[in-house]
Amino acid sequence: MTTLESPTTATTRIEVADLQIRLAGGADVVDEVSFRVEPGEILGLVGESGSGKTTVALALLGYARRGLHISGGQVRIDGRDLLGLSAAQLRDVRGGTVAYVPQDPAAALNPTLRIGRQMREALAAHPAAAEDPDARIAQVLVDAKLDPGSGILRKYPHQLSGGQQQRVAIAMAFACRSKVIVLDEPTTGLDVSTQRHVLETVRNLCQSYGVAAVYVSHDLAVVSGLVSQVAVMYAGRLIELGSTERVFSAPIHPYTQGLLAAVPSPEQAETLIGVPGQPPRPGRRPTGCSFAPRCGHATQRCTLEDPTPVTLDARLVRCLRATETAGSVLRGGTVVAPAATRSDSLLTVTGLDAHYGRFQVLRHVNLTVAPQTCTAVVGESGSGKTTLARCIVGLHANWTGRMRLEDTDLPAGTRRRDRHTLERVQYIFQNPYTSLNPRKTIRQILHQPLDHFRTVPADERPERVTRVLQDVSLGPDFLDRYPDQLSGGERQRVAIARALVVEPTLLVCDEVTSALDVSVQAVIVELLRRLQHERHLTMLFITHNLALVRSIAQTAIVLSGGEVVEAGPVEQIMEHPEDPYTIRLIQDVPKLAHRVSAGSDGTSAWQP
Amino acid sequence: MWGEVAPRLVNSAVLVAVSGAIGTVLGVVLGAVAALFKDSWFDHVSSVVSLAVTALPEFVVAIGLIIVFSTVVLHWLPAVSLLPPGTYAWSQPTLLVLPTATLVIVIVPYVLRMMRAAMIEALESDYVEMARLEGLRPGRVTFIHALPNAIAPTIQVIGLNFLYLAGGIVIVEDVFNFPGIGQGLVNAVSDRDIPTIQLIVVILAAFYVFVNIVTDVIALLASPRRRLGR
Amino acid sequence: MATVVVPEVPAPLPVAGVGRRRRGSSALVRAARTRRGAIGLSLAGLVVLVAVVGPFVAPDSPTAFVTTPFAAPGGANVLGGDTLGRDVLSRVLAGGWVLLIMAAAATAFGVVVGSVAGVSAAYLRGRADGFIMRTVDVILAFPQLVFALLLVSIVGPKPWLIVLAVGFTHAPAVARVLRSATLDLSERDYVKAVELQGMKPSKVMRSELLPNLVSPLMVEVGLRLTWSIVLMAGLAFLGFGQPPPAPNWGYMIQENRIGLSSNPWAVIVPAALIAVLTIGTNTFTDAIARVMIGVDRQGDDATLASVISTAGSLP
Repeated sequence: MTTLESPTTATTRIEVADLQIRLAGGADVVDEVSFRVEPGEILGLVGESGSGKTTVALALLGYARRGLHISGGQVRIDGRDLLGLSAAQLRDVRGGTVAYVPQDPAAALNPTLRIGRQMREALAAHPAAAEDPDARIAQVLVDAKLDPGSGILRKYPHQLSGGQQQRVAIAMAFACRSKVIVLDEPTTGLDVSTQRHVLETVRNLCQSYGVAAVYVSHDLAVVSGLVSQVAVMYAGRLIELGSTERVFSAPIHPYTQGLLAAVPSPEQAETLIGVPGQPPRPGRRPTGCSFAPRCGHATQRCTLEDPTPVTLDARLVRCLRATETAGSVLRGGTVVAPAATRSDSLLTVTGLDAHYGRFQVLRHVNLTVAPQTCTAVVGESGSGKTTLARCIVGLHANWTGRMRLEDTDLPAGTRRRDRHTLERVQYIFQNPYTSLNPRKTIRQILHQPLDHFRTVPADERPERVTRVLQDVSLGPDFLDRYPDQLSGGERQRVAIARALVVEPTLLVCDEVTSALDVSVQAVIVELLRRLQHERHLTMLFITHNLALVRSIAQTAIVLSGGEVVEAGPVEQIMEHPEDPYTIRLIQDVPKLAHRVSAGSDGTSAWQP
Repeated sequence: MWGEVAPRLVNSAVLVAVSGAIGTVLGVVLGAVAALFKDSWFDHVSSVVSLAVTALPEFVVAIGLIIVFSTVVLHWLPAVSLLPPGTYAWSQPTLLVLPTATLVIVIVPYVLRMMRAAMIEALESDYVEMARLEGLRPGRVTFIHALPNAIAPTIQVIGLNFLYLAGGIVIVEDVFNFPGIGQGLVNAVSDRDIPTIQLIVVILAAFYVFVNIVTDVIALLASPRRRLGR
Repeated sequence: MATVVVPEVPAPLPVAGVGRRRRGSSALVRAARTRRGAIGLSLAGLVVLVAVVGPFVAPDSPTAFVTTPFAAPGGANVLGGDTLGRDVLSRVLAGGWVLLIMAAAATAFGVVVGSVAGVSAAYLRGRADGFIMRTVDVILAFPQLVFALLLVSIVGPKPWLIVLAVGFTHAPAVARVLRSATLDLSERDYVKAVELQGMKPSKVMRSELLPNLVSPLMVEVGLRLTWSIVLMAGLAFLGFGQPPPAPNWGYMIQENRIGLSSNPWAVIVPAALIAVLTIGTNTFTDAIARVMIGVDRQGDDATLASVISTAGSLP
């Protein structure tokens, strides 16, 4: 068993030692996980999809999902090992000593029961927590910034907004005065302002009640401002564990370094560096270091020898070359802004009003996009940014106003546009898991637009397809695969290739990275940035992620409630926002609290 | 004509109501049990048996019951429900046993399979996981959190089953010579008695509308999400 | 309108063996290799064999009077005599193939009409949808058997009419299932992607939607085949099949049940054959559905489970 040097104190609240969780088949999905959390402290458990972080989080309540079982180690809360408890004792712990805040409260609140009933039920299961349950409920609602007088207790979950549902879940977790709270990505899906409020609530509650918390997240920026200790997971193991300040400002494990370099910064325009490749499937760890196949530092030894954690620079690192990678910096270069903003325009939108039924989604939107530049459309959910994109490409036809692509008018809806116009404007969807037909090979998917528009002679099409696939960094061996044999990032590359294969003038990218992990997001954004330059594309980049805007766009518009509240060059908007909404939005964006100290020349390189 | 059809209608209504009620309760209970003990021997047996029974024509089930209980094997129950015209079925309850049993056997598997699927889905939902993580007792988790959410989709199938019974009685009444509207319809079709056929068809269509409305109302009551807007 | 931030999508599973596709046929083969599928296929196959080979190996003419009414099994008549003293074995062997052909024809008719209606209703929406679905509602207002009886009462018990009637009453249920599956699919982004190119609706339905509807379609074919057999046999049982002297399993049960205590085999054997056949087709269909759900966890028949649960409950 290896943990950080500090000895277990009498007050240690959570102590996880050598935790191992196996699939029913026998392979382990979580192994050798050990950490400690003191009262009032928050530990960030960070990792990408499939890293096992949620599995570890649930184990803190002595719980494993169907098909999994906790096969080894200890989970001690105040010195008491949960894994040896009876079912009845575990029920006392769950919701009592240890509370859980789920990732998706919309699904975790029972749709057939009123909020009040669900909260009272949770308290009734742990009667020792409060003498007057109703008063306690009112108090935690206030703590979670909800108004108990608003009749919220008589509502059903579906009658609340996403933010309210999340606050209810947090209030329920705090209601029983638990000593430990496990939060499983509780802000995924919330807009940045709500997210910030929720995070503040969590921080205040933990501090004022001396609660020890474990905060699971894939978002390093969120974690950096909230937690005091961070544990990075990869392929079911902790690969780096230490104080947030040390880990984030001087990461040692190459994976941690890669993750941090992939996080876009709202403060500087820099290229993003992703982590190439993809993690092993849960339970299918390769021999040697699990990260070796994707690691720039890997040597022969890394592929053979399983690294044991070593203590270095006040943290634990699972890397054979830890002493060598320490101090190396992985950093994106500064984006060289392209030629000054041009005054001519390729796309002009004037006075756009769009409706869904009788509901007005966009109000008098004006937008000009200069040729060969990238314009970002930024907004929170409900701002109308996706509707704007859909109006432009023709998927949404219920609008009035004027739209011009160079000298041609763009009428509403694809049916009224001619072939040539349809070919010139291409669209990339948000979710690569639904945008490719699962019954077609990549070859069929990429040939399909060429066969439809027929502007390229039939005998040149195969070559065009191979070339575009190369452009998105996929080899010709992908041609005969089906989408479900590809990772999310690879699918999105195919989607980009499908849009580019007809050589469009205008490319509309709608939240193209929001379904992807941060390391993959970085790769895709860089790919788009490169392609835009190489192909002289005009691009409209729709996003809710302000930080991304800096890395890719030259100009931006900010949408709120269907109206443009601010427009202009990206630097100007990010550095000197004028509209109060934009100012708040920029303030609320989670930023990495501890940036890796930059290499002086700012070029992107591994610097040993 | 109405005078001849009315007692038949009452007899059929009794048959449909009794077998529908028994079949629904049995199906819901067995389905919930199969889901709770998923992959147990009970689950396997009930799933294989219901798969086989869903495929059986009603007259095969009916003939099987007659062979076992009335003629070849045992002689416990009457093979045919011969009633003087104009008398009602409940005057001789033993006559109701085999027709009801046939219809129950035919509809239980549908309710069972749907209930099992819905219950498994509910038991694996996030809100049931959450209820467990709040430390609620297993009984509460099952009956307060999982069950109501599983019954909601099952109501549609129960409604469909009642509609199906309206057709199923045709054959069952014929097998047992049970004096209901199903038998009346077969006789009328054989005799090309168009007015009687029309009357019976109108009655069945009215029943369809009635069952649909009742199903929708109950389904609405069972789902706050549909009952109340945002 | 609102942007959904998709939470952690599970990493796709790299698939071993690329050539595992060619869905349609290989799904059938894989279904047949499962235990359930093998059992279902052998049960149904056994009965089909009896029905197809039967007429050529029957010892007597199915309509010849060779023994006494309800003669007990023995001697020249292995299964005894029927209500008129005909050989039960010969009638059983000769009485299956017509049922099978009629059931298959009705299934094909019902599934084709139903899926064309359902897919177009869902994809074209608007007036086409309204018209098709109202028609469906009206037809569904009558139990299938009642609807078939209605047609028979008007035209008389002709085999072609029974095929059309049974097939026609399948169509609404098939249409509903395919409509809901198609509604789901037409919201997928890959369909939007070809709509953005201005692809014609008929082509979208053929090249983008249809390949993703293979699973519900195959399951529908299986379910409807089972129900066709059940309905056909039921109609024959009621006396609305082929006209009397012709042997028919359904009608044999009807005409011989008064002699149950003298020669039960005249009823048990045809009833058992029908039961084994429908259990076989239904079990095989279930196996197909299970294989499909397994296959398509990553693909696009995510709706299949719900499709089956509703379809399976609609006789």
